[in-house]
Amino acid sequence: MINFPMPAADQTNPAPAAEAQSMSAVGAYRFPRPGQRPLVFTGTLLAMAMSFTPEVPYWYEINIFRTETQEFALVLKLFFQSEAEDDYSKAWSFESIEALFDALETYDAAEDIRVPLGPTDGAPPAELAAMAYEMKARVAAQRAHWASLIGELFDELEAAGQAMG
Amino acid sequence: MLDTFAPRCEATVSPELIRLMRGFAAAPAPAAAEAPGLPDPAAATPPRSGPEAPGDPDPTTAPRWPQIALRVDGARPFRFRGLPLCETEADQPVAGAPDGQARMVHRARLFLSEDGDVIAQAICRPEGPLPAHPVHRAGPVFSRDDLDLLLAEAGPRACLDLSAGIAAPPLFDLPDGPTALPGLTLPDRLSQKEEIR
Repeated sequence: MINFPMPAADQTNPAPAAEAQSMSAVGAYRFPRPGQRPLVFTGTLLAMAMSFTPEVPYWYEINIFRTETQEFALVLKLFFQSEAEDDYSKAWSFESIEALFDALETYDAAEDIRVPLGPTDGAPPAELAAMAYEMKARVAAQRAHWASLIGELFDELEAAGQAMG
Repeated sequence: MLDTFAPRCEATVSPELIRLMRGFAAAPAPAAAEAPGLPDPAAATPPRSGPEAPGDPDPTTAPRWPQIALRVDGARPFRFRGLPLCETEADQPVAGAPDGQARMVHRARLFLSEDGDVIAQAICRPEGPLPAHPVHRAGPVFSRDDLDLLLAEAGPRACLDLSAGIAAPPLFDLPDGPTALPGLTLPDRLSQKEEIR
């Protein structure tokens, strides 16, 4: 399991106002990235979104930060309900918030699907076809899951903007 | 009714991000409104096309139609200026689901944009213990096929997360969604649009 220094995100069901206020706290963060050096920065949490549904075996969490160097960090975490699966995170840095939003819109969640490696040599065509259909369904489901979460995040941005007048 | 659901996705945004976004915008964005309910017919007066009649207000100072922002999966909201034409909603149980309380709620809305296009929004929101997520689609529709496609994309099967082990064909007896609801045919609504125009 990954341990993230996420004081604001780790709160359990805080009141919205309190949560929004806690986001302004400056913190030091370090996020591991597959194949890259960790993303390390000091900054404030600007937004977060998560897609937890008890009946679905995985969920995403998205965190958006503003760093002290006036850049924007996007941290994506993928959690699995099964302890047999390892959670992991990805993180990127952007020069503008618009670039970060563009990345959210174009991110392909199919990248996060783990392909089980098994013997396929000699498998009958019907079995291979079944595997292909299953993979296709998983890709579609993962992308739809991600899209629903991104829609929620942008919708909340819209609502927060209206609330501020 | 839609707002009573326990959310399957949650998002929290700090005021700092809103201020930042406004600072980054090239021009001040007009205050977008969540799609309003159906208008009071007496109050909704769409602009007329053609030459202006005597006594018409100055078009440069006349109030514009309200800006509407519709939630869309995977993207920023779909924005336009327009008026709502109609909406329909159905709350249907999912027969065969593990818990008899599971339901799919469908909602479809049509708008007339300031440019004269018909904008449709289709929503499917699962309620209860289902391996599913809400689906939101919105965009212009120019034909019945466009509307059918939009409704299909927001159908109950689009909500289900097949990775959760629900095999195809689905185990659930899913309702057909808004296409099965009375009074939601594009010809009907296009007729309404023409009447309004």
